[in-house]
Amino acid sequence: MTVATSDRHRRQKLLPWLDEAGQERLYGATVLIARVGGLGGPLTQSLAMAGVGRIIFFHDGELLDEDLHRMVLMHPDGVGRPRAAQAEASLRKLGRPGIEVRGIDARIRPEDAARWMREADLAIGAAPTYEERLILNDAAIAAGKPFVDAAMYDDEATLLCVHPDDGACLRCLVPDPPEWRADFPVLAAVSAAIGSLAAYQCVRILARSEPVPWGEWIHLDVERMAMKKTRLQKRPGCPSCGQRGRAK
Amino acid sequence: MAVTFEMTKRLAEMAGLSRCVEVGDGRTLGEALQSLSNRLREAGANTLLQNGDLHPSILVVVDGEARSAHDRDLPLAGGETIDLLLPIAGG
Repeated sequence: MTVATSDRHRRQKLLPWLDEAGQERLYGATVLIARVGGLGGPLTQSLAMAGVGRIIFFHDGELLDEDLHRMVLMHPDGVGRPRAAQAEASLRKLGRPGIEVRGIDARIRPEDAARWMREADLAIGAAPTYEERLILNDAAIAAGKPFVDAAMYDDEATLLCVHPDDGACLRCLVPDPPEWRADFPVLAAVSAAIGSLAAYQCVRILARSEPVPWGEWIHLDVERMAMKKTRLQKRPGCPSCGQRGRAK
Repeated sequence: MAVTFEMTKRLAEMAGLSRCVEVGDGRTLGEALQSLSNRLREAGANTLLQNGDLHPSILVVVDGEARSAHDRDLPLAGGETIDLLLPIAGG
């Protein structure tokens, strides 16, 4: 059976803010993301289905049975095998023909981020560690590219879109990885919810369709069904966004 | 002049306090934050403090606007609710 793909995105092109031109931008876009687990999995799933042309991701380790309750790109048959290869295969199946997916079985390092940000249009932080998210924040700003950061814990989730040229960044909020760490409690419904909201902002950014809540920290309290949006202050002397433009 | 701090769920858990904490001294934001820092210290929530002050990565929001250590002299009328938001890490 021949599967017609030419009309796959017809319904989303009905969105007035996306249209044909925006869709073409998605087809030609490259994203770099840290982790494709409970949050990054639904996020990249949405991007692949929306037609993003190239997805580069870093995710280390082998799949555990306890991952399966939230990691939508993984499969029970893959327990004990590398997560990256499974997520790569899932994204290839979900994307349009010709989608390029590269899953790297490693935790992202500053040199990796700098290398891939030369090709990427957008960096996305979906990792459970501040270290990985800050690496992407710094690399995106240094490359003059936007960065979307998303995180969750229990019933809470946060989202931040960092403009390449203006406003506060993640390091303004978290200058250094804080000491408060924990084995985070997670329900897939919550990680997928913030992953989907982050994907929406990624599509907006890649399609170059404002408004995007640049520099506004969005806090979602799922238990109370409440959302707060706060414009962050730039931290004086921020070693990341305070250096904007100097390396260009 | 009482001021109420409203914390996110995770922050309240780490503080060992309820999500809403009322402090009595709050003519300025700095005074209110100092009172809160004292409560956190009494509760043993030392990871939420840095050099005796509220940890700088905890976002302080007054009337929807983010505030920082530079805003310590911000006058408070009393009766305000100040939001405290904690960055989280999980994916």
